[in-house]
Amino acid sequence: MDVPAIEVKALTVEYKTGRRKRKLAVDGLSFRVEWGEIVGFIGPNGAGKTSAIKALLDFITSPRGMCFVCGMPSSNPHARKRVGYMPEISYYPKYLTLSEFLHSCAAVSGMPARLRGEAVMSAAEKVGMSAHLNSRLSTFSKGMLQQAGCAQALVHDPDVLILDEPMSGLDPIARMRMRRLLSDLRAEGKTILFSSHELGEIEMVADRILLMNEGRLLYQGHIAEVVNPGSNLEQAFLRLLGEELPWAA
Amino acid sequence: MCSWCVRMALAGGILTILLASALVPGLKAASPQDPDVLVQVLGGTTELAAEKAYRDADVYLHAGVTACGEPAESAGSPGEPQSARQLPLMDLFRRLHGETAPKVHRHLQGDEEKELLPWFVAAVRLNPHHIDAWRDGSYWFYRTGDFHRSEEFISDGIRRNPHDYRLYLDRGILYHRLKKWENSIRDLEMARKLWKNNSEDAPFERKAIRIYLDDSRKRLKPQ
Amino acid sequence: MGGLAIARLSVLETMRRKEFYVILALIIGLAAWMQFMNISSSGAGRFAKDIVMQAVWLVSFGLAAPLAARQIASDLEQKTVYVLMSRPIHRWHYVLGRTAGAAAASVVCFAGLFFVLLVMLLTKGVHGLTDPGLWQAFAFQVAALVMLCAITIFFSTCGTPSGAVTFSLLLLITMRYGGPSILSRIETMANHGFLRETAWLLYLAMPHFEFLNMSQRVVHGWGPLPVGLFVQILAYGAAYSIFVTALAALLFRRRWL
Repeated sequence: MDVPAIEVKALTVEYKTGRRKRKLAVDGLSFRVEWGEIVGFIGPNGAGKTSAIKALLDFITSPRGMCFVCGMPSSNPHARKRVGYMPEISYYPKYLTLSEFLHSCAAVSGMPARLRGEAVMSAAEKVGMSAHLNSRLSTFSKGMLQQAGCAQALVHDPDVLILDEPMSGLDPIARMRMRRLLSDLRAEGKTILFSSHELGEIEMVADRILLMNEGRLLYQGHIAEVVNPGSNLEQAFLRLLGEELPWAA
Repeated sequence: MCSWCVRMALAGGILTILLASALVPGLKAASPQDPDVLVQVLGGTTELAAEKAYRDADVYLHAGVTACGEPAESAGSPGEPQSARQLPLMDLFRRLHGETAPKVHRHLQGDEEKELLPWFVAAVRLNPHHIDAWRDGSYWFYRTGDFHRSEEFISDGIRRNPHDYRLYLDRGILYHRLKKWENSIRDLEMARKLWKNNSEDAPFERKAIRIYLDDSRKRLKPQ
Repeated sequence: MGGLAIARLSVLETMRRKEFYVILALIIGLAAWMQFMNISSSGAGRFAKDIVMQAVWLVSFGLAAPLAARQIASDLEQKTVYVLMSRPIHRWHYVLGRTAGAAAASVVCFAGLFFVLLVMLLTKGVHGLTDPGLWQAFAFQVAALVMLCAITIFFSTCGTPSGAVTFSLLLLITMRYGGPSILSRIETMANHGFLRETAWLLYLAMPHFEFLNMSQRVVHGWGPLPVGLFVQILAYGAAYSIFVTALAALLFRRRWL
């Protein structure tokens, strides 16, 4: 395809923090995510990652700059037809069972009723939650809610996945399952943009990284290009941010 | 405290009030002055509610029409000064109000008159000192043929308001109608003793006391 | 389809909450109390019908307003709105779906309470299922609930949930019980510059719940409204609800989530 899966051009997001005060959350951000790749979105707290993702999904309306998803402006709801989003905070309607929740998500995504049953089963199996389909979300632990969140992002078989902190709250086995899932999804041809503070996880699965700090893009490129031999992504991250390495002599 | 506990507590409280108010009237009060449990719980707001209940009796008498006669018409009846300028759609709204609300002046008749009675009962439950409710309630019990209840009702009112001459007057008139002359004389004499010139109707009621008292005495005398 | 699925979510939530069952139990208790009340030597059907009908009507309003107020507000507060708005739906789909869901849930609750009323009427031997006025009153109450939900959701998009409940219930009570007298006052206002015209414009913009109040007609046996008038008033209720929902969607359109 000629158009990238995700394209952001000169995105600027400003929040009003007082009567005349504004906070610049994203400042002139530009990047592309090509089809079929996994891109890790990293940066310290408050870097603007979540704001950028919100602008991509039109949660933040009319920002300055342009956002395109699947070749369409992000303000067009049809742009989200092929997008699956997993929010950072795993709040879901607690009065529903997982099955009802996934069915609702599939219905809202426009999936025909005859296909929803199979799609729900498939999504639950992918995240290892098929045994909990009839359990209420109010009984789920944090990790289970994360997995439920991943399932709702997958239920309508999207081509593009935007995952905000997908590893948060997961035990090591669940993390391994998530890594495997991401790799499987890439093998299926999905495009994934995911933000995380778990740099080790990003290093294992991502093809490229986007590093943000204070609203600006500091670095975008392949991991191999930024990580020195014998070093790791965390050290590269700190170096790029200009922090001193704690073990430096 | 969990929200479910709060809901159950609220529901339990309301059910308790309902059950108590249903049970308490069936028990003999320790003294006639003991206020009803509803009054104890709801306080002064019961007076407003009692007045509403009393007025609802009148609404019921007129089968739902809130004022005697036609509902409020547009400004400008014949003979009155020119009304204000008619605004757009005013006629439409006036027509809608007129057609959705009952407007013909009529009274309940026959057995239908019993429909008023619960409102008087409610009014005096809410405000035991609502003298008009006691008086009118007793009258309508009598008018619907329930003489025993009529006497019981006004007697209850007297127990709760022992110093109001009007209740003795009405019970005296009731006994007069029921041909219980001795009871009628006793109550009318008490009414005369307690009479106060404290309202516009007081002089007329004094006259009524005298008329009924004289007639009861005359009828009591052996022929 | 997206809006329908969102509406279904609202209905599910209401059914899984406990409030409806608590209120239903209270109404059943009230109806049973009315049955056994010793009021006079014979039954006072109008009184019992009036009290239970008013209780059912008012309780259904009391259920609908908070239910509607928390639809969008709780989605925003708990961030569950992200899961919905990340799907391919317009924002007005979402507002319409939440409004329809709140209205549907309110109507379901009201229908349950209305059933209790019907049972009580049947046992009292008063007007039963064949009274067309009773069914007109039911239809009008459904329309009133839809209007109330739409108004509450509109207020909730520009204020807090508790404020939305307060304003919408204030409007309801003011117009339902004071609508005709407000009209009378405006009619008798002298032409003081633009004051009368302004009052009239405000009056026109208000939701006219008084036209949807048929309870007294049913209680006092005044018979059903003419079909044409009945349909006109229902159409007004529908049109007003759509108008207010559209306003809410406009307000929500540019809101940052």
